[in-house]
Amino acid sequence: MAYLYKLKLQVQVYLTYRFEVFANIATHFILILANVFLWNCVYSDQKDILGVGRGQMITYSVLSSCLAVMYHCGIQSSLNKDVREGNIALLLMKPIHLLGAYFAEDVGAVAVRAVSVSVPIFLLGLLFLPLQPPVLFRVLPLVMISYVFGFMILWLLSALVSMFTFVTMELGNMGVVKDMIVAILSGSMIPLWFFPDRVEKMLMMTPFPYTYQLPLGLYIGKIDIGEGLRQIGIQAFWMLLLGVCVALAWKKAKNKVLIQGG
Amino acid sequence: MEQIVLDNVVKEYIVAKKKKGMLGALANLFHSEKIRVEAVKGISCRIEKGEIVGYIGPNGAGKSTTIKMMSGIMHPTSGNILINGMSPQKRRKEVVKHLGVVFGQRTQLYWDLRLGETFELLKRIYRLPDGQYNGTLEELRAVLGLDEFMDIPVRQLSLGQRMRGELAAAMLHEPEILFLDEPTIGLDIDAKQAIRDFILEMNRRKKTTVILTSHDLEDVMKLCTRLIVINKGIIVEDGPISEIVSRMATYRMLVLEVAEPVQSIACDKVEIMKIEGRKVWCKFDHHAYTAAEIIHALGQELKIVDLSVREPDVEDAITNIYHSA
Ligand SMILES: Nc1ncnc2c1ncn2[C@@H]1O[C@H](COP(=O)(O)OP(=O)(O)OP(=O)(O)O)[C@@H](O)[C@H]1O
Ligand SMILES: [Mg+2]
Repeated sequence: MAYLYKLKLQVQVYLTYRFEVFANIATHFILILANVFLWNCVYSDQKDILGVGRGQMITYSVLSSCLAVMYHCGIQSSLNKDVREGNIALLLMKPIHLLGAYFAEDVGAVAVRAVSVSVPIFLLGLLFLPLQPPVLFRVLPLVMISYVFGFMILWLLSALVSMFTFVTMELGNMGVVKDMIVAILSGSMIPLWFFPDRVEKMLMMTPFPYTYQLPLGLYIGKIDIGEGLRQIGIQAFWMLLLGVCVALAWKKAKNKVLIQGG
Repeated sequence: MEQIVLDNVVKEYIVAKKKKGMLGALANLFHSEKIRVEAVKGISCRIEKGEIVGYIGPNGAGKSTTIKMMSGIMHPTSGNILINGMSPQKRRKEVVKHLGVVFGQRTQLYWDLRLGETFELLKRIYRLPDGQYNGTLEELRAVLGLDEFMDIPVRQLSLGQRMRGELAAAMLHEPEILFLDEPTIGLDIDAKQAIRDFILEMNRRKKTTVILTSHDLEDVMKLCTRLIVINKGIIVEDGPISEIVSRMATYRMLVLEVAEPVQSIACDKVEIMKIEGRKVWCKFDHHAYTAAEIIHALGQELKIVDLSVREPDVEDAITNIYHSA
């Protein structure tokens, strides 16, 4: 199948950039160390803050980095590049679903990144940092599901943003803005429970916390199974909503090619 | 059998008119004036299976626009297009299976993949059976000499190698119709020749219909039997090359060297183009007079030392067509 082959090829492409893989591990590990120092500082002599202990928090931030590596949405740059270089029309002519092809590529990339970067970082963390195993092994399946759903949410968001860029063209690449918003509002750097209550409540109505905070919170036990299931439901809702938006935007983008020739 | 039919095809682009300057850029964010540009203004033509048609015209004439519409990439604003009796707009998936497209300025190869991998991917995209795929690939490898660079990533290929790869990629699913938009742009003589040979070979073996645009008139002369000339969105000529050339290049150039400098010539059968000392360039209508008549007439008033007559060629014909519209 074309999509599977595309996935496999992406794996190969990644493996040819071996240096990048090692550089990736190194930079991430340095960032993680900086994070660990920071949280050590914050915790200085307190045992826990808002019910989260120092070890839990460090685990949270290390895993957040592992997650970031696996939340790879290459569509943002590939679609932009294909549009800018004017190849989009030719790609659309092939009897294959172009979004499906981008997705297959990204799944391939995520698989390699997971194995080649996230797992080594996790193992390094277990060896050198006070990483904790999950509170309950029972939550692991939920962590996995919420990761997959979280990936879908981010991927659809990326697809939406790049299509928006494509349709309006003039506004330039807004992917960077999206990445910033996600970094801050998803709890990937600072969990939202450190934010003022009102702000936290508001943010919980956006899709962002369900990408990072949910799987991480589940892992360290800040979010219990019942609450986790409820939030996975919310993830499913966002996936559906974003999926519909992407389908509509894609139609609009395709029409633009058909009318303006890409 | 008429394989491609165009009926009164019009394409209008909508272009946003941008205001200039900082304030203008800000204003553009909210509102920009739209203007319509008519790139193709109602063209009609019919192309038979197995023809190699040269589709030429000056820059901005509307060639690429037409090719994009024929290949279903873009919808016409009005008018009808039929490929194999089907509209590429309404039945895109079906039509596209029988088309191969190469845009010299674009690539449809995958930058990071090796050529061989791209072909494997295309095999899956077009769902080609193993036997057919291997057979076609074997043939393409031989004709295009792909073997030397099958395993090199596309981004490392030279332009000529890449273009050969593009052609192979476009022909892998054995399309009945091949659209080539400037396939020889930027190539050296050998590479151009390889591509011309390939086009002729495919046309001979598989009766592939080829529509070719090129600014290299040698491509057109060597490959095409029929010429369609478009200028400012209108088809101005359509017919066999030889006919167009003899009709459009009605004048022949006569270069004379005379014994004494002249100022003007009284003979009204020729038109003086240029006089430079003892050299005179003039042209005459070769449908009206023979060269012998002209030389005889001029011989009456001038002392001709030497002379030469230039044959009309495609280039003259084309220049005439481009400029007469
Ligand atoms: N996407 C577009 N949006 C707006 N105008 C366009 C677009 N593409 C082409 N045009 C305009 O349409 C006209 C025809 O362009 P086209 O590309 O078809 O010319 P062409 O015959 O292929 O020229 P060339 O020989 O330079 O390739 C030009 O005036 C061009 O500016
Ligand atoms: Mg063109």
